[in-house]
Amino acid sequence: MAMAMCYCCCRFFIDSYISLNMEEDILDDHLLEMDLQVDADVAQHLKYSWKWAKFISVIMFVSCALIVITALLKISLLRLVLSRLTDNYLGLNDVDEWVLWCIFGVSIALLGFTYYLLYRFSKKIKQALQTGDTAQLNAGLRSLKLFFMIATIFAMLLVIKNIISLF
Amino acid sequence: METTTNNRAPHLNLDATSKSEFAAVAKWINFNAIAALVLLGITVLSIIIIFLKLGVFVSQFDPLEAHSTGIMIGVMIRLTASLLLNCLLLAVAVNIKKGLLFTDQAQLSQGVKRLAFYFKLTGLISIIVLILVILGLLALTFLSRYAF
Repeated sequence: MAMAMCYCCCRFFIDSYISLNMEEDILDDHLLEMDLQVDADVAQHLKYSWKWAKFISVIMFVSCALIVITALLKISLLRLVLSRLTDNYLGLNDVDEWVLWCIFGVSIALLGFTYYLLYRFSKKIKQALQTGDTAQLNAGLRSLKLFFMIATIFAMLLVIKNIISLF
Repeated sequence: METTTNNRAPHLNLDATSKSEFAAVAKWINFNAIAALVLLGITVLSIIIIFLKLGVFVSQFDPLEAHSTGIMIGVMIRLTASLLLNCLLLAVAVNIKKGLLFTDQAQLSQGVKRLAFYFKLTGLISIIVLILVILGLLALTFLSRYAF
């Protein structure tokens, strides 16, 4: 009799625990359904995004490489272009050659780094969509944020330069 | 086989970090679009000022001349493309922000869709620029070899 009562009590607690857990799971699922998620629609758009972002970044890497190769092959042309750019855009006249080389190197490195961030975005988003890993998605979004941050800084510098040249 | 793999894409839920990253992306996209639109405005203003200052040049400017027309068309296309792309970026930022603020899946989806369209447009413009650069280089090579 006591054994039967113990069994009934245990059974009752186990059933209650299971049903409570099931209710919590159902509630969590419902909340997740209500919360934002990367559904099939968003995943499809993210897929297009990473494909085009990868294409753009590869084009920019190739362009950077071509600029460097042309610069190394035609140093006189590079000198001419850089001196004109420094005269027109930075307001520097008759600067030393090493300064021109430094400006060239920094510009290429910055451009390369900016588009590396876009490439990283495409890589991470692709991995996130394939594996369902939220950490990869976050890393991809972080890279995209940095990409737009650098682009904004460049745009603001150009705005300041244009305002100065306007007056 | 490949289609089946794509259809069974793993499910991704946005946690607090993802939402905060999405919000930061929207914020910087917004800043970028505004800065670029301001830059566009200043460029248009400086073009007008240059034309007003050099009144003599304007009177001598012949829009029917091939070189002048080419430059003007080039500038107009560049400005229009820039305006379109930055308006699109503004729409991306607004949609993503609304989606996060009101937990609206449709708005978020629209924002990501517009971001994909932005990348697609930028990619197509890159292809056009690349083709023009290659054609220009070929024309230069051809001219330098056969013109003289």
